[in-house]
Amino acid sequence: MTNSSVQPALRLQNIKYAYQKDQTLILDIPFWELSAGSRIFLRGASGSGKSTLLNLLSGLLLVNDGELSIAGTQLSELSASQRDRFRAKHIGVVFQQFNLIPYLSVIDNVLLAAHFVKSLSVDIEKKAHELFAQLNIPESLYRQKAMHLSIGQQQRVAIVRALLNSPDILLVDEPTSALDAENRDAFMRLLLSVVKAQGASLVFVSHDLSLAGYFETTLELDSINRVQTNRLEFSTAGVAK
Amino acid sequence: MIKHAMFWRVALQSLLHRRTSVVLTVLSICVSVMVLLGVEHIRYEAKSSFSKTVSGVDLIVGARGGEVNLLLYSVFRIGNATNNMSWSSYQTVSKFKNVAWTIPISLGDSHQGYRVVGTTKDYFEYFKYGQDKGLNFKSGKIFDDVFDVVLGAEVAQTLAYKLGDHLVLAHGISKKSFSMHDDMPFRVVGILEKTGTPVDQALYISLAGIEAIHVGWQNGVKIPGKSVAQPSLVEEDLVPKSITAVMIGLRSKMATFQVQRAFNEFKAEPLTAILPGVALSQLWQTMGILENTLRLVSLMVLIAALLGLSAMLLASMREREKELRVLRTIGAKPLFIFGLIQMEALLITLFAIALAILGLFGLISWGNDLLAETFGMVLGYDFLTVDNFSLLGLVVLGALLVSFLPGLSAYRKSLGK
Repeated sequence: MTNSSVQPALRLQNIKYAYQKDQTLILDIPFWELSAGSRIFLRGASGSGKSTLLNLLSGLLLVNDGELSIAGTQLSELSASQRDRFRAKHIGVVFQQFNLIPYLSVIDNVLLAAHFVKSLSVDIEKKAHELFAQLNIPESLYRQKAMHLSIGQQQRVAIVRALLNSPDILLVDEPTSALDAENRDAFMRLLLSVVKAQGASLVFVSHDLSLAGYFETTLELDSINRVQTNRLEFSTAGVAK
Repeated sequence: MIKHAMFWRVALQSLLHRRTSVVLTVLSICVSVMVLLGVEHIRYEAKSSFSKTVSGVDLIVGARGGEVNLLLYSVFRIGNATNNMSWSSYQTVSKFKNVAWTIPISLGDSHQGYRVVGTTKDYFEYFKYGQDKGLNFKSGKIFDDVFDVVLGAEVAQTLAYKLGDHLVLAHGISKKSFSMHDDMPFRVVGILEKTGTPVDQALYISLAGIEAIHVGWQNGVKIPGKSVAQPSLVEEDLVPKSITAVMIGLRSKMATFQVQRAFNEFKAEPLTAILPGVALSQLWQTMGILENTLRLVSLMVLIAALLGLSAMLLASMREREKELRVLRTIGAKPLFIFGLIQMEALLITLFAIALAILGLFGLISWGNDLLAETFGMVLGYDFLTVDNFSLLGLVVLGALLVSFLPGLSAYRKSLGK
């Protein structure tokens, strides 16, 4: 992966996706490229297909048609288990909520990510501790079960885990929706500074345009997706500031 | 090392997280395994205890009747003889070529529910049980006088008799017998050591004693005015007219079948001669249906418990959907998810089995007192036989099999289907 820095972080060409073969398309993206190291805000209303896009980008779903590559690797060319391995190593994912296994300790939740790329070692534990420090997770929380943490803490632990394997790209899906305004601001600052420090690319997906200010680039999903969002989106567009 | 530790930790923590339903599932499997092992163990113990009851006796001869029945009343003291054999037949039998020794027994009376065995001194010399073990006296000696009685270990212990005590025998074998031989009390002269066989549950008097208490009786009823005072008994009254059965030892084992045939074709009186071992295996054949029913029931209980395990795991899949998605997102293969569910089933089952083994140890030590009191039988602790271990292996295999469904469900979910 020495050339991953020169390869675009992601590159989509003529991709089409529908959950069932003959159903209507959810995504139809002629072209989208993101250069390595860039951090963008991808806005899309609920129902606009952003969760589906994230599942495609992380390789949990496969495109019906077209080419999708992450850091120069075309996901559809990998076998299922290679794809699992690739995801674990090159892609970090943070969901809206429920990112952690509730019954495992904070440290186990994080180290599990290293377990799946078989890189569990003293070094990786040291790295976890560094990331914990950067994201304001005190040592007293390491042995706590994830379910006993506040949502803000859980989301920060999720970022630590997503960054542990030094991924090329971090995919983040509405991570602040359950946080209040104050926590949201602190969270966004931490997220961006740590991603910058790690040198990873970031795709931040949200319907909330008020968060766009943290990013240099904002992209509307509708502007790259030929399938236009349904009527529901127009009625809720005004609500989201 | 750390790698495997992680997998175990996830499985274990996941179980601890859902501990209420897990504990209930563990208990239901534990109980079913206990039933399964318990039934197998009791079956085995009963068989070995039955076959330990008599040893060294080559033939048992009684009046014509069922072979199993003859074995049951002569050795196990279960049931009754339909007929007696005459004293003269006994004498002919005992003088038969190849017959080394005989133990005549005369049954039909009891004391507090324990059976009275009329016999000769040869009983204490020739009767063997277990691995050729003879009878020993804990205290006292063999009966000598007509009104002497020797007690089996359990009789002496339960009824708290000691040497020199006097007791009265009852006519018939019911515990609530109304016709007592109360005009002729017996004196305890000997107490046998414990054998763990029906020997412990009987009282032994001489054949003359049996005759003495029945002087003045006709057809099992005391004739008023005909009773005779103990001192006035005369010698000829005490010669037995009949006995119930006779145990025989032969000089040559080779002659067993030949002698058996001769007795079965006895001219003077219809007799039945049995080989204890053969009759015992006939007995097991009759018990076979009961045995297999018990095993079938315990198998059904086990299957129900394992289905419960499957249902529990399957029901948990709904709440674990998000958890499985997280695992997949951070790189878990679908096979890891499948393995996780199987591992959880395995841990539950192994834990249940361990608990069942401990429980059975506890149950045996707790139940043995009761068993000894009521059945004169104690269970050993050696239920962890090779056979039972392979049975437990089948239980584990069954658990993995039934958790295939929830495992598959998790697998499919994790593939996004």
